[in-house]
Amino acid sequence: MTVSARTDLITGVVILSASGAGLYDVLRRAPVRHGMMGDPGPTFLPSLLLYLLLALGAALVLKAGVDFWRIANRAASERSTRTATIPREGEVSDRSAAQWAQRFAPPLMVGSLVVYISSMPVLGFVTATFAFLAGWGVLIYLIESRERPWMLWRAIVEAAAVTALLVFMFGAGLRVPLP
Amino acid sequence: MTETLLEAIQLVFSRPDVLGFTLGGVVLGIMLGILPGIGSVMAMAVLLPLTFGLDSITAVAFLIAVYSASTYGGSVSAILLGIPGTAQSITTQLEGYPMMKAGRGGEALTFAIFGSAVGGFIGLGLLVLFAPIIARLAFNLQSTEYAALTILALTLMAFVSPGAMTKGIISGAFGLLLATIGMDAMTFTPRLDLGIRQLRSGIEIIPVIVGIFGMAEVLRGLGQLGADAAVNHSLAKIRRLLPEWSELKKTIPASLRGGLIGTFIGALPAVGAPVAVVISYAQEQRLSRNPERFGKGAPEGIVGPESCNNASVGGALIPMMTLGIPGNPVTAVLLGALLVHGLTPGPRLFRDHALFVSSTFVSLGLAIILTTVIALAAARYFALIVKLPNRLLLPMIGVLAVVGSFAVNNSFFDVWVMLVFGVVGYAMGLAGIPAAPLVFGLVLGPILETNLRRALMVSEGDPTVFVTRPISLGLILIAVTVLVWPFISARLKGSR
Repeated sequence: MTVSARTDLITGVVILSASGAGLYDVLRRAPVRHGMMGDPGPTFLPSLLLYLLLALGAALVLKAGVDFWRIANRAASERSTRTATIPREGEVSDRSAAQWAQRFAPPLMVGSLVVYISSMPVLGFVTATFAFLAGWGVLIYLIESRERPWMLWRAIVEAAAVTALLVFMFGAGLRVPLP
Repeated sequence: MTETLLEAIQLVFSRPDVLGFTLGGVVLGIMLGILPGIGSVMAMAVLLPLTFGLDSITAVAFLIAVYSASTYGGSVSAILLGIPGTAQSITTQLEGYPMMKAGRGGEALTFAIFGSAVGGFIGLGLLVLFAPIIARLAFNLQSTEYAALTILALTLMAFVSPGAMTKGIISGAFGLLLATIGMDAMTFTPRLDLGIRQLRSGIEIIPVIVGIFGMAEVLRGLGQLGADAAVNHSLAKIRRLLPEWSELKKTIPASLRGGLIGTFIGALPAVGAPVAVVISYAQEQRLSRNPERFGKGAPEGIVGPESCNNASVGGALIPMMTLGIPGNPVTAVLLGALLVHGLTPGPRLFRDHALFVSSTFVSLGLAIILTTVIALAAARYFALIVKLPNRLLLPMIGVLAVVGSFAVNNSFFDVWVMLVFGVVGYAMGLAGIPAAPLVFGLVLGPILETNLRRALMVSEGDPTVFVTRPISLGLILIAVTVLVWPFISARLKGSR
């Protein structure tokens, strides 16, 4: 519940801030006229939606606040019955790769995609794609099958094969323009 | 209609490219549907760029084949591994996996194939029968009805969103807001473009869809690496494929019931297959002479929901093709593909592009037949597809997402849009906000805005115009009921 309330609070605050800023911008802009019911202008629907999002963001913040208040009320009684969960031997090390992936793999993917997309005009589609696929192939291989690191070459060969397949399928076969 | 249909049959079967792409779509659809985590939406989103260089008939034949085949594919991993490949395969897992563990996995697959084929044809039959009638009726609808229909579709989508309804509405409203970015179609005034030149022409639907459904799934998949190492792939061995005829015969009524339920519920905007299969499963259990067999491997529990699931494909195409209102996220992707090819779904599509509409029906029929044949022929090898490693799959989907979004306009700006929406989709998942209403909002936004403003202008600002016309009033009443029902229901339960 704490996690849910915290998520709701963050979500609510983000929505409130973004829709508030959006509404300020829409209403401030000189060439954009705030539409009336009889002659709804271009900002009629956007401002209506921003007001709705503002209200829903506020509702989420309110809900999170109520949840936190309930948790605080229950905390005292729960504290007396709570028992600490001690991880079993070996559990932490078994989970470490999964925990690492959970925390760092998604932002690392976004970062690598930024590099991949930016480098494409310089390196070309084939080189950039091979580097991207091989890098991730090796990394995922290490996360999932650490006991057989000598098999890494497979990930690199697979990256080369997939790159060739993509170029053949999109570029040569279907004439889809490649970046 | 019959003449055009015959012409379409002749056209489809005389063109090797249409036949080849339909076959390719079926093979890719089954393969992607089998892979857990890749549903029909993601399969369509990542394969969409393949169609950009094709003509509209071939492109839609390919995508419809992917849609139809991936709908079946989801049931394979549900039966062989106990992991539903798609949300609508959950009930198939409840009966199919126990059959697999009892050494009857092959027979369970055949039951699923049988149900899928029957349901697919029921959905197609009703689509061919009802779509032209609805399209004709739709010519009488005015701005007020279209605006009310769009509001109802979005309300339903928010209502059936997993988790809190508030978050579903937030997602839908955000999608509608995104649709308003760029030049206003009525006054040609730029708005909400943040000073970015490329945003003046609005946000392209395809990069958003690819980001939300493709890239976000890649990020989620990466976050789960190493967590499901305990999945036992060694169970996936298939022995006997064909069940006893007497047993198959008993499931025929279930397949017919499932087909009807699937088509009608699939046709309701935003409700879709996952809801339909649960209703079908519950119905089969209720009607069964041996309800205690359910959960232990009852064939009717596979055939009914599988028929329902595949019938919903035809059902979902009804509102998309006749009214331009997608029935589910997959048809939203399909709608995006039609727009890319210069076709606007709606009643005019039936009048101005009758041959295209008929060839779409024929392609769907062909896809169902090919899915059945390929599924039966390749059932023994399905277990191999399920084992496709993450190290290959996840980065490859990432590259496909980049290629796909670039190919829309040959522009890196669309690639960045895709990446931003991949992150947005991932963040929305973490916050428990469903992504589908956002895409619905983006697709339905222009329809809602144009019709809402037009209706208000015609009525000189009188908002009662939405409740004085009977169809519009009915639609608004349903939308309001859907919104307030959870509160009334909670009140009633509390008072008891």
